[in-house]
Amino acid sequence: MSAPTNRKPFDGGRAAYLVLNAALLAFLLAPIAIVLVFALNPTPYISFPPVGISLRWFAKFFSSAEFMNALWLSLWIAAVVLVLSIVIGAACALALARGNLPSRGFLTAFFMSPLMLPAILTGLALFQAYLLAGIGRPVWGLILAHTLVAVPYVIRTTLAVLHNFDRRIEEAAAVLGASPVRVFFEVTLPLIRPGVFAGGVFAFIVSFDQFPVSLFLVVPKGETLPVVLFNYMKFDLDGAIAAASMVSILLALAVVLVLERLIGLKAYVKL
Amino acid sequence: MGGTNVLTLPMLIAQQVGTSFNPNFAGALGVILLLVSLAIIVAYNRILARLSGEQGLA
Repeated sequence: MSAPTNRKPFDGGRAAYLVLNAALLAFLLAPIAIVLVFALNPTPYISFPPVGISLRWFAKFFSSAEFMNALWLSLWIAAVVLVLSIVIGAACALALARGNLPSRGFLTAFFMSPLMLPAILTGLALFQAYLLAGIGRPVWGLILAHTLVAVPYVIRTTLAVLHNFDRRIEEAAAVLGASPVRVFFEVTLPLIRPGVFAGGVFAFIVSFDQFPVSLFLVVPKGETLPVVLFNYMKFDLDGAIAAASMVSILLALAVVLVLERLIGLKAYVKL
Repeated sequence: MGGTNVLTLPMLIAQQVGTSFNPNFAGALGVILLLVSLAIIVAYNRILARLSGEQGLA
């Protein structure tokens, strides 16, 4: 049994590594656990030692027309943003990777810039631009704003896939007589699909819990869920906030899992 | 988003627009925030370029 003596110095490092990982995991997951505790605690204000378990805050959340309207608005905006950003993002990524554009570096930085700028400025700038243009704050303006900040995620993931793309497959299809359109839809698109949809999942999440960009662009009766939650939290700090947070976390998780099941795995199986 | 005692610059901007109705001050704050973030990005790119350049030489 010489192994334990050999492993002793190694074990210290490994223990530290495990402790660090556990601490990181706790740091990331503890807020969610605390939100769940608050959501189930029946006291009329947020207080720590929970006194019991009840679903009254979930009932309040689901029976409140304000919350429900906001939830549906957020969900369908996120769905439209998902579709728009995968179409625009995939097209942008293809142009950047394939187009032999003269100022490729500049264009890439330009398309990525919404990720680097503070989101509150994107929101403020769009708000003032919409006001100056006299178009007010329509829902499609909000959708455009969300698409603007979601497209870079799709471009990033699609560019990563295109980086390792074997163009000889496309050439083979073209040599065998496929038209460029057919090559695109039957060869290129299926191959880049994992990257495009991975970006699409990000786009959905970015739109669904978008707060800083939405803040100035929503209208009083048409606020998205994060804005409604923020406004509610300014005046009431009860379990309804925690219940709403739990519902939006679970919904986002469900959408990601469903997309992954429907598209992610299928795309990999097809490959 | 910051608590009640800690007010971050983005929250201050949001307050100036939403609560104080002072969009000009919000604009000025926004320009400062923009310049600071651009400066950080440029500095980061410079440092990264220098680091990778040294790696390339070694």
